[in-house]
Amino acid sequence: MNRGTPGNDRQRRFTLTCEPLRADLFRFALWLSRSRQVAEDVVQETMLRAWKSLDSLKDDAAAKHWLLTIARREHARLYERKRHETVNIDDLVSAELPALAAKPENDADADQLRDVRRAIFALEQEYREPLVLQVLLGYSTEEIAQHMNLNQGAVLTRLFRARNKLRERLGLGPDESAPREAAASAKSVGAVIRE
Amino acid sequence: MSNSKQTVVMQCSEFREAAGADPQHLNVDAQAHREQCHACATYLRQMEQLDVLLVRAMKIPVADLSARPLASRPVAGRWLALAASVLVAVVVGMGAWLAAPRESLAADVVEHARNEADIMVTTDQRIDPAALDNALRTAGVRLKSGAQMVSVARTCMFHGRVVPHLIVQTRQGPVTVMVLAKEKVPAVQSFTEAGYRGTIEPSGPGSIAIVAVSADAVAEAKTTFASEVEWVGN
Repeated sequence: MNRGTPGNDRQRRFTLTCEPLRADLFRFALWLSRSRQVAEDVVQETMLRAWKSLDSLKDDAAAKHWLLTIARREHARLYERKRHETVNIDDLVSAELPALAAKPENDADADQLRDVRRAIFALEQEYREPLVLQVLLGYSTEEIAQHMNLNQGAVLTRLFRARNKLRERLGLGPDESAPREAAASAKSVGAVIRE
Repeated sequence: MSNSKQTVVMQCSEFREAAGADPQHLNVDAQAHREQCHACATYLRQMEQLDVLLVRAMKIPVADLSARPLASRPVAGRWLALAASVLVAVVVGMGAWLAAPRESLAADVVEHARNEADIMVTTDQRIDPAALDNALRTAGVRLKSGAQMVSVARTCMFHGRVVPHLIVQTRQGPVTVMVLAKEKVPAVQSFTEAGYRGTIEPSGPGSIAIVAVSADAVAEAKTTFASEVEWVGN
């Protein structure tokens, strides 16, 4: 084991930049995969690859985006292996009941949270992923577009549809207005739709 | 449905597309439409409430999830790595517990700043004053001297509410500032957590949280920024 200064510096850098993001990575992977087992594997592989290629991270401030990009790639790799196992949403929900029932401290609305989690689980991945990136991880629509290799208009459309699907599934009712693909060249959400 | 006046360019359907895609970041036109259209203002509130629910739902406690039975690990060769991870987690967890501030508000502020550490960088860029005003308006505040020292202004979900999250540039480095209109603190709380220094000060009806790597940066932000905050109400 290397006990010299470079090794210690590397370990310290990894601890400071990557380890604090483990919870975010886990939640991202969980919502992406809808499987706790896959999520744990994704985080494990992501951290391993991050450690191996830490030198390629030029800016520590970009660690979050860097790790989430690795996690997305690892999920795709693992999902390719396991996709035949996970096709039925009811089976998924049953398998992940502990996760769906998990509640924050002092939360008196466990049933409501469970229903919301089930509704998120039921979303198609193309809608679930940008929503998680935006709502949970604070990504801008531009950052989501880069992360998912989409144009910004497609991201806006998916986010709009994701929320509408959730409103419908949660009994809040869909919105009557439909998104327009013309939003593609938008620089900001509001600017998208002004003609 | 709409009470739109002639001066409002945006239509209701356009507003709802924008609010449904990104309710936390409406541009000036959308905000103007919201002011004029009661139905769309209601729709936006519904979207904001949905987002509050979504944040709470998505933040599944990691500790609960980590309690997966060992037997379910798919690869036997990872037992050693898992055991090592558990040991490290216990050691790190104990260390974090010993070093953590007892006030959960301070801990949550640090966690939020740490999760968005990618924007806490030194830069010469400054935020557009209108964008800063929009972010601050969610908390009912404005800056007396404008945006000269603010490089980023976001609105974030924190404790189930939308709050302004700013990056203030000081001579000692970048500083995270969160205006917490609904978080009262009885007195100034100073803390150290996970390599960050910070303070939460009573201000207006709530408080202002300041977090940075350097204690000097926190001190400078306290004197140059916090005193510039003016509570004007929503």
